[in-house]
Amino acid sequence: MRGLSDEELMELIKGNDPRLAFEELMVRYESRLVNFLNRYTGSLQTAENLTQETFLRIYKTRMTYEPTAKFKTYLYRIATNLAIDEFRKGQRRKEELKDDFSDKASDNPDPHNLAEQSERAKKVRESVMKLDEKHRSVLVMKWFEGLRYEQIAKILGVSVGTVKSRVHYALKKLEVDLKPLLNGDS
Amino acid sequence: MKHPSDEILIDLLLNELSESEARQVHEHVESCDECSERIRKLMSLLSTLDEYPDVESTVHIKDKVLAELEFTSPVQIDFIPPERIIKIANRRRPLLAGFAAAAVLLFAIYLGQVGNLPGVTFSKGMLNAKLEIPSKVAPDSALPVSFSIWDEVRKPDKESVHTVQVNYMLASDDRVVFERKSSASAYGTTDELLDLSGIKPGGYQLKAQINGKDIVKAPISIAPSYEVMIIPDRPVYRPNDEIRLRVAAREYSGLAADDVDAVFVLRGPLDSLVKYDKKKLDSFGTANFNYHLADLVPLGEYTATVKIGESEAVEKIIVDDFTLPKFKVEIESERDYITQSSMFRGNIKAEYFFGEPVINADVRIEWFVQNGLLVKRIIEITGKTDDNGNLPLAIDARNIYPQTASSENEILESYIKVTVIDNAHQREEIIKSYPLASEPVIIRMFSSNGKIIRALNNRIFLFTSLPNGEPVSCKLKLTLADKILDVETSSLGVYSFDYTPESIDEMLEVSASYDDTKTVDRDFPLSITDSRFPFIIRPLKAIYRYNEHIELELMVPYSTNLTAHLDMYKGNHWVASKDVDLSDTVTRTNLLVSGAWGEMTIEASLRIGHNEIARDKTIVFIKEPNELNVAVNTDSQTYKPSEMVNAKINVDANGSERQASCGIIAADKSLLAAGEKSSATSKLISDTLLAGLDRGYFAKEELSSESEQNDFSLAMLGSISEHDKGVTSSNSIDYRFSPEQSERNTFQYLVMANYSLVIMRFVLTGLLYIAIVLSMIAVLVNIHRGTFGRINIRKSAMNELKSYAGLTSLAVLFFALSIRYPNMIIIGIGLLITMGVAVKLAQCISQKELVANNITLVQIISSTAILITTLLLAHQGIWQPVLRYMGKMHPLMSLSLLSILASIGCLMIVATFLIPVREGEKP
Repeated sequence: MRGLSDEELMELIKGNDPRLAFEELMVRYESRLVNFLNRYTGSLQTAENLTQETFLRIYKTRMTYEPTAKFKTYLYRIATNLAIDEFRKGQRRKEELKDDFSDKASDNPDPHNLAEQSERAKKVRESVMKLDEKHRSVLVMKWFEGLRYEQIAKILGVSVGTVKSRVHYALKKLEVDLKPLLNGDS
Repeated sequence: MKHPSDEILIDLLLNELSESEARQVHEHVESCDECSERIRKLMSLLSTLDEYPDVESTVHIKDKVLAELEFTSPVQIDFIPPERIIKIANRRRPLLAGFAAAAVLLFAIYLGQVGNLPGVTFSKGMLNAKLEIPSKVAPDSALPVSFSIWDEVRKPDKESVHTVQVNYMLASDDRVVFERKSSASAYGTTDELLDLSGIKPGGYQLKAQINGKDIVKAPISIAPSYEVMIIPDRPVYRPNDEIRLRVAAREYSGLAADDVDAVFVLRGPLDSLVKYDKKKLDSFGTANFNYHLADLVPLGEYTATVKIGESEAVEKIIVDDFTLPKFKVEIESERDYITQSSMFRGNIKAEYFFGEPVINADVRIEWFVQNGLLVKRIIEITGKTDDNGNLPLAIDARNIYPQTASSENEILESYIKVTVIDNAHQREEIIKSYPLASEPVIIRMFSSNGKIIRALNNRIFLFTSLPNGEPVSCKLKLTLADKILDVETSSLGVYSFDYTPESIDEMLEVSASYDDTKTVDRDFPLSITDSRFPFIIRPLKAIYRYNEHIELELMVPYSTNLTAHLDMYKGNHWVASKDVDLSDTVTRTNLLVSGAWGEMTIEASLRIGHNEIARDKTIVFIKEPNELNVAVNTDSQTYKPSEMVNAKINVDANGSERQASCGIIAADKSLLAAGEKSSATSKLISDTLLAGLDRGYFAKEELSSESEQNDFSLAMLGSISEHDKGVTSSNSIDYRFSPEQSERNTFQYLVMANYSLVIMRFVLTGLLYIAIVLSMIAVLVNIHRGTFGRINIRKSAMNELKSYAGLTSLAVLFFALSIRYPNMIIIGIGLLITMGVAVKLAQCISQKELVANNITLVQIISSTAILITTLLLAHQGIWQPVLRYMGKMHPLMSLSLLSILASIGCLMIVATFLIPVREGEKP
């Protein structure tokens, strides 16, 4: 199974014995998807639930998957749509996500010698989370997931130019926001 | 080249420029310090972003997804080594669930049977009551009432029913005609005599009320009851004869039934009405009814019925066109029995009624032996009478008996039939009964009450007699339990000894010697009658004088605080009652009877526990106070035809003359010989006593020694009891309402002995229920909100858990209701839901992930515990109706059965743990 491409695995999942192929696919993307969604939503628990839901949706809609499409794009599109749905559930939910984020950050039991680094990481997380959802999504997909502008454009259903401008805007915004950190660093 | 924009520099760093664009920008940046600085800052920004750390998932998303898709069970737990897993097919799981449901239900019932478990102190009682009264009583008499109230739940010996006030009400059509208050004893019983004087005859209902509520009621009829006799003047009638019937009636006490109407009805052989008449009885309670038969009347059996009140007597009247016998045939013998050991010798005598012998008549002698239902003719002899009308007779039974007898020392019925035809071809015959015995002496054994009771001092009587029942004194050698005793029966053939058996049956070997030559051996098994509570009532004497105290002994195996209730009956009529406290193993008491005599049955009942009554009965005989003697004297022994006969009739009682109503019958001897009839009394005695003993019974007055007389009489009573074993207490069944027949109400009560305790129980119970309800609500809310959402449990398994929790809540609700309202509908619904709960429980525990997960396991266990706690609280209201509908088993039997079934069911529940779930198989 390990030598097969994502698309080939998807073909197997459509078959009579989907279990092993599906497991392999999950092994490949579970961690990446959790991290992507964690950075996107700011909540590990939400990320885990959305990851689980993403895989379930992939399995349930496996028959509609066309092998011509890149699986990775297909996967992120589903995950992103689920995350967007989650954002649209309202302001209350949003607040909870922020609370969860701050709770998780403060509850992180970091060792004493990593205190400074943790402080920096916290600042970075805060800055990323300050970005609005549109800019945060493209930034995460571009920088952390290494997707190309075209792939991101397909996932989000927008033009490549839009993706570009959102990425540039997000980085400039972060540069301003993280200026103290960057100066200290320099 | 002008400076590239930030966007281009960012795209360069993000690797989004084409190869040529990237090369151009690189060349510029290397030559431009400003752009180089900018690139460095952007790279610093991007590297800072890398400090946003990766995270590790806290859950096994893959497993959850697979479980959700039901690819496999998420938790693999080996309860037992795989090779020891019991393979149970999926299709059998419903069966297992059914067994599990039955197990829970039965276990619940079983718990209910156990009684008050430690810690479960709040309980309710269930009282039941019984009213025992006669179905019919005479007007102006006393009505004996026996009322019992007991707790169906608690054992009476553990906690007695508190004294309650009982209000008796006699009502006719809801109109109360009589009311009386009474109070039950600490044992919940009360026995009263209600004076019915002044109450009109009719149908009534007696109600027992407690706190103004009808607890139990039973119908009663107040109507006069009489003993009616019809005495015909001849045994058989011919056409043109006058049927003269004399009717005598008396009340059950023995007093004459005067001034009451007697209705006479005579019906023909085809049940056609022949005569109807109505007369008032005279002051002696007698009346005469006559009917003249016409010349041409149907021959056959007529029926004469005399009805007085609701009592009646029936007499069969034979109408036949017979001719009077011309001569009389008799069998004369030295013995009136036949034995195997010796020749039977006798003489046939034929004599005309005018006094001359029947000479040279043909005689045929036949001997029949009855063995069971089979009557076999053994011998047929013919001969002729001599000049004196005699013919000698000799029968040798020595070679006959073994072929006919079913066993040794048995008495068989045998008959000698003699047919005599004189020279004028007139034919007469006679049939006479001769008991046929294998031995010259008959040995019989009786116990005082017709049975041998374990652990009590039984009195055993040995009775030696000739085959005809005549008592003889014999030397006896007794062997019992390896002890040998040489004794002798009295002149009345009686020897008695006391015997206290333990748990095993012994054999009594008796060897009787008679005339120092004849020895008879018999073995008697002393079979112990199995009795839950050994209890004997025994009179000290068998025969009492009128108005004499009847002395009785009541025996129990150990000292108790029980109370025995005694009832004395004459026939179906209640005579007297008494309650006797049994303070010792042997308690003596007296019973005084006035206004009644004759054979009395004394029945003793003893409430020994949970609606269980031990009974015993005995018989005594009370002599009639003024037995009449009648003497008839005529002025001559012989009369000529048409001559007047002067007869003087004297009636006296104890030597003093008494006025009496007399009936006189003057009849031809030949007519009486045509149909000799046995009196009703002798028939009664012969039915009751064993063959031959009736002679001794009537000979009792001739006994010299009083102690001998008493011993003999007691032995006779033993024989009556023994004979009566098969129909024990038939009188009481006819006479009394059995508890099942009388209408009763059961009702609930709270034990209010200690108010503070009751209040505390209420509070504790209330708190328990609040806790139960709150915990159930919490569990349901948690399930609903998805608290368990992060547990690796499939939806289907969670649905089983939800169903289980929901059904448990419903069951708890209904059982809680059943404590307050213990009716069958609520209990039935509760039990039905419990079965559903049990099915769900079985399904839950067969889901591995539910059992393996701590939270769900706690949920299952706590729900089950709550349900069982509620069942425990409700059990006292549950088990009684359930058992009532299950049938009236013996408590021990039902307990054992339930225990076995519950154990099997529990094993089945355990077995559900062992059900293997294969990889990829949908459970």
